[in-house]
Amino acid sequence: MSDHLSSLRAIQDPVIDLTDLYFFPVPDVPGRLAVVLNLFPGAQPGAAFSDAVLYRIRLAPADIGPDAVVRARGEDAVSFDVTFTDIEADTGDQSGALGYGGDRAVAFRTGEKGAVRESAVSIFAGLRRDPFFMDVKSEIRTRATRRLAFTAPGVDAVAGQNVLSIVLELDSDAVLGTGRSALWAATGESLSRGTPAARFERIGRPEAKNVLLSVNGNDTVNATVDLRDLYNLDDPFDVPPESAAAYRARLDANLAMFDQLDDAIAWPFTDGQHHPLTETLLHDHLVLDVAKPFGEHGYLDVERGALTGRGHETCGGRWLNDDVIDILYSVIVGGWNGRPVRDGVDAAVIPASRAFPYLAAANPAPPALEVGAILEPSD
Amino acid sequence: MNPRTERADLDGWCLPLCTSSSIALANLDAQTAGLAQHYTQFGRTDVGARLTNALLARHSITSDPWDLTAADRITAELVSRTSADPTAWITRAHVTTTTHRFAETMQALALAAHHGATTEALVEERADVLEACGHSPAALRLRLAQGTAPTEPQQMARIACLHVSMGNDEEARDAIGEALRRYAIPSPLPLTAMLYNWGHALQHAGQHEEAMTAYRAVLAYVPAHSRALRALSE
Repeated sequence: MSDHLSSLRAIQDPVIDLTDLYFFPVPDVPGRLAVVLNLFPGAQPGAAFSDAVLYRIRLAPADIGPDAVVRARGEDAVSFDVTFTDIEADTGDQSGALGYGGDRAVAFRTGEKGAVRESAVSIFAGLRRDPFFMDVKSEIRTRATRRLAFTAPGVDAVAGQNVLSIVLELDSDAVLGTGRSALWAATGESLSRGTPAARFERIGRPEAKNVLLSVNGNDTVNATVDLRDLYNLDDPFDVPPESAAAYRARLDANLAMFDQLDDAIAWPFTDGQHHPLTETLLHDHLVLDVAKPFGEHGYLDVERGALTGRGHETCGGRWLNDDVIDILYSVIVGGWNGRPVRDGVDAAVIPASRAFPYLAAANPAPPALEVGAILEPSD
Repeated sequence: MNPRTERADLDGWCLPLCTSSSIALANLDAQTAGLAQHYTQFGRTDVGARLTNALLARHSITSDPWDLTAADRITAELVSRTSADPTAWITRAHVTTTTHRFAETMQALALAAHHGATTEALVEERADVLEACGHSPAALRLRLAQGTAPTEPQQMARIACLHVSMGNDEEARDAIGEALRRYAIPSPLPLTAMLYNWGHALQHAGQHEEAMTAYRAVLAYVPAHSRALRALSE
């Protein structure tokens, strides 16, 4: 389920549980970019950000290497650090601070009235509808049975849910210096405040942990190890080689399983005995071409263009309404040009809008999140 | 905005910086309210179990009898409606243990086992009963033998408390120190439960000063923690 409930640690405390990251050009406004970091799966009205957590978004210029893998230049990343105060007894709101670019700061408050709109950076933080959508049970059944188990229509497990959302909109050239690179990589993190900061969670692409790195009985190197908490500890722009080796083995094994779900091989392993997507997915960040205009359905397009050598057609990144489960499953099962795989859920109940802060207003009476089936890795 | 610097100290162990208790309790209240609404509407067992756990978590801090009464009522409904569901019986056992109705707990656990509850869940509750009845060595043996997630900080802290009650001070301090060192989430709620239980165990073992230190650490995180307040005022 994207990155909801994606580690044992996150399940214990939803204020650190990052659910999704989105990165897209602002629709109809050239030169502006938006990043959305969501957290707290199943948040109810009254939910609040932690005042002991640093919520960080990093944007880094990226390059396509000779091996066709998109890599971020982490050392050149721009960090956007968001912190919150305690809730105010009379209003229930929180004050927030955004720091970026070393010495620039924006003060804001939670909720729509507390959002700040400035030419360089705009920020909103508060409770909104969760824009993610997916048939979770059928996806889990697919991994458990090794057969595509999606139905038409599917059942959206996220329907009506809320999350806490941090929405940034920025002047891309003024804040990032987009002349430095056309490609930019985005990651989100939740860290402890103070020094040194410990990382609770990190997020790049949806389903990196819950699906692609899940324990499915395929990985003979770490057969039963839930790698997700270990994965969360790593700097997304600087993963230690020993950790990367474990993730590589798990990805190779799981991707081979997904490839066989339609009884056809779309992804023969490389001469080095790795799945062709493994190295790309190990670099877990969203990739956006800031020189291209807003477009829907761009998820994984930059990676596709790099790996096929044909270049990308869209801006890539991830728009709030992109059907990332269909895109991901279509690619890992059938290849770039295979028969589409659909999970039967094609949109959120209330899709995101094209205007800041993009996400729909919170559901005042959200249903209880069905966590039972999500918590246990499928064997 | 400067980062908050307050964090508690316990006998030289540096405790983690945690979310303020007003935020943590507000989030617990909000999630509890949502679960209650959903449970009232649909009566699902899994939601009822989560609601019960949320109510017990809140009761452990506020001592509000309404939460305990509600948990008791909900679990009675659960085992009545879904009598073949082991989750319902385990949750029921959890409530009856909390209210010291151990005969009911043993009956609930027998039915949970009959309906296929996991060994881990059963051992956890049985160890709780043994501990509450003063059979610390048996509880410790059970926890260690079954290896019920001994690397989880909360479990390690419970083992530490059992060591205290048996006079194994060195093992107890090692275990609580390791539990605190491994505590890796910003929520103050499980942490204060660990610290309160540690203080309670020390107090029963006659280590009054050390117990007061533990209770003060609880209040550094959750100033409204009613049981720690009561323990300090007695």
